[in-house]
Amino acid sequence: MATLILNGEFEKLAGCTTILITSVTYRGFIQEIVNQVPGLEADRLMEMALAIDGEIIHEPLLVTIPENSELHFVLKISGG
Amino acid sequence: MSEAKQFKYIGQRTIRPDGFDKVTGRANYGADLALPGMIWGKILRSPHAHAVITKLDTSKAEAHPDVLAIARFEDFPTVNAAAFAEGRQDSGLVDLASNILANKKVLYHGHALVALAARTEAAAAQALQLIDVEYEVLPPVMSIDAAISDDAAVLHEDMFTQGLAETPSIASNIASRMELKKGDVDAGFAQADVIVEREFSTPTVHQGYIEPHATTVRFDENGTSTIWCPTQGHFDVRASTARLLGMELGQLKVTASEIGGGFGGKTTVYLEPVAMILSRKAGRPVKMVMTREEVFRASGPASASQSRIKIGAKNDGTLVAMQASLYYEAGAFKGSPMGPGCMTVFTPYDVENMWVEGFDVVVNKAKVAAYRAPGAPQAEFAAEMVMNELAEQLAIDPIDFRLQNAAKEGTQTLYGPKLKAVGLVECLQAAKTSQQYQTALAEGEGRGVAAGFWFNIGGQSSVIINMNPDGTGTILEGSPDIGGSRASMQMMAAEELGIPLDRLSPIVTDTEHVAYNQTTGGSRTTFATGMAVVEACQDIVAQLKARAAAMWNVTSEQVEWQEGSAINLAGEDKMTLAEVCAVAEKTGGQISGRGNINARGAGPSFAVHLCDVQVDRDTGKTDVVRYTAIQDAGKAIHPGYVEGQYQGGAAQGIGWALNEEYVYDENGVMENAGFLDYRIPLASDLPSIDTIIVEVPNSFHPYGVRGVGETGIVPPLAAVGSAVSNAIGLPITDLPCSPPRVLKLLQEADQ
Repeated sequence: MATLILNGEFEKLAGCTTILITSVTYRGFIQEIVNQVPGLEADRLMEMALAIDGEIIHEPLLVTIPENSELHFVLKISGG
Repeated sequence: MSEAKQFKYIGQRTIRPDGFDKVTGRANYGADLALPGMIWGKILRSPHAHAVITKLDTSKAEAHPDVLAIARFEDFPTVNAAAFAEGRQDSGLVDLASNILANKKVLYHGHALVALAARTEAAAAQALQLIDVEYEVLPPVMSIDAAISDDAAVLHEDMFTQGLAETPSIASNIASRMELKKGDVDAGFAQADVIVEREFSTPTVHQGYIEPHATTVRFDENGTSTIWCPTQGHFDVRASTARLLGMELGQLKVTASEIGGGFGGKTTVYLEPVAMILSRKAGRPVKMVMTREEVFRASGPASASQSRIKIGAKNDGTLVAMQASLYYEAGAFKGSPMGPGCMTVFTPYDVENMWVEGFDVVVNKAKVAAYRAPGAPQAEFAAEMVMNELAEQLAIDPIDFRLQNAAKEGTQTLYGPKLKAVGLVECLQAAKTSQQYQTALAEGEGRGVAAGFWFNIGGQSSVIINMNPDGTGTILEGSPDIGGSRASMQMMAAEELGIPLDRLSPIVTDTEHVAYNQTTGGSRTTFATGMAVVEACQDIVAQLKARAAAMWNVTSEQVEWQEGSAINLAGEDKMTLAEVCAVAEKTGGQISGRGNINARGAGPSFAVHLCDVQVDRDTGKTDVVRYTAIQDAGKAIHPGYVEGQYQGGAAQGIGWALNEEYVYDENGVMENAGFLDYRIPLASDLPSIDTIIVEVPNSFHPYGVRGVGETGIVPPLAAVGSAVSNAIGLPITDLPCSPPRVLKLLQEADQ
């Protein structure tokens, strides 16, 4: 299982700081969160980058969620 | 990543491939293109900072004998208020279109209302005077305090603050709020022996690029329309223009000219879609060039900000809690860099308890654009000033104070992920042992230290390398070169292929000749496009080995590539790259390599800056007498270019700290819209900026590269601010530390 750590708006919506994730695919991961957190929409989540064990991935559609990994949603940064 | 080894080209100070054209004037910039039959476009701009357009009559201008086309907001076919009202339209696209040409309301002085194209530039300027406009003038909202006050005029009746527990029912000038939390700041502050809490402000500033926005556009009703413009991202110019005008991407070709500076300010579109509308209507190519005044008034400056920072520490120097409230001006439309500001403000520190909230606030100023690490300079200025004040109160050296609490590998950031290997500690150590830090200050001088952080990004890059029969090659890449990246691509390709640099020509090609490339920004190019170059070279090497194997009648596995030659492991044969290419016709055709990637694993870059100043107490003028910029580059492909990025960022940050600000009158009109009065640093203003390159490799890049273009603007604001504060013995909370402001502080202190 991987651990999703929530912050800010998502933490308030979920009412908790962590969610355990069983899915190994990104789509499955998103579905798990949407199922567990009412009011959190998939589209909103998929606008975010995903950090897996510290690596920030802007387009995570094809990632495999590793076992025991730590996951965070992060704003997509563009820069100047 | 390649193991540390002796590189032949990586790390050398090679001659830049674009240098000769630039110093001889042969390089073609945005305003240099002229086409047969070309006509000139001009824009009528709002004289008011906030007004409803009650009448817009272009009939007299249209009747001018030299006017061939008019463009208005209604000419954007895909931006439709009805669709938006029904939820079928992207508010971002509507805002973009409304910024390019006003829709019913003007929201800043200089806001574009309508454009026309005429046979000559003079005729276009003359015809603008024939356009009849009437306004209902509204009170301008020119500051954060004004925007969030209860009686503020509301810029957008449909703006309801996002990110609150309940979406309000009353429209506001606060577009959104965000919050990040780690640990328990209240518990943390309860442990503190010393707490410093202060408010800070930074002004609206401009990126200060020397080259104005310009474009030449030709609409082609039968085939491919073309755009020529200076831009950091010609693929995104194509995308934005196509979206706004309902064109297919394949109908539009964009060529990026050489660029005279961007720094984030040329990552969006202002003129290109307008010129395309005019060209389509007129049936002629259209050229548009902003004046310097238009650049200041109507392109995208960097956000002004207000911050409240509170940091607590124990007497032994351990930080226990950090808290921030950050307000950013977005300009006329939502979308300030408040998010990155919240994420970066405390990232240099490993502290258990943090809480940050941020607000995106609209005001009647030009819509902001990115400026080098957008959001970070404003936020980290405030945090670093408090850190220095804390260090002073604790009687701890400011570098030691930071070392004691520095973020390092494994530190959990406020925005979530743990850091991988990073170089902040190494930068602090380099600062401590630097010549500047070992140099005693003269009487009256003040010294400031500050750290800075920026994420850097990866993203999509596409490269094709075509090898010629004589063994030379062309690197076709799609990342506009704003800081020397062509040289870096050439060096990485030469290293991978094992051939001399001058055998490879790096070219930034147009949108037709290479696949999509993300905008040059976010310090991504040497990292991501470099990885694509490496991938394309590896593709070529695989083909070269296979071709040599075919000549020797062995398998590819029996061929090794070493220092630019194929070696037959089953015999004694050797073929140089040129020799393999010479027989490409016989072995299957010409050799090309491709690298199309969406790069992951961008490594963040930390920096530490040192600034020594002398303040003239009679005039308030500050002279920077010594400056050192220390930053982690991961691996400096071309050290000269890396140093240039450090120095450029430092110079811009010094200007931001010492002199630069938009000055507005009571009607919201910018009073200093020119380089005479908007005072950026000149070469004569600054000492030589010393640089120290720290290299803590980024394991995700073949050569260990981290982006370096942005972090360097982050530390100067606090390094300079603290130095001035130390020199005059008074707190600095508001930038810039311009002579009138410093003089006022000194005079008030004397009273």
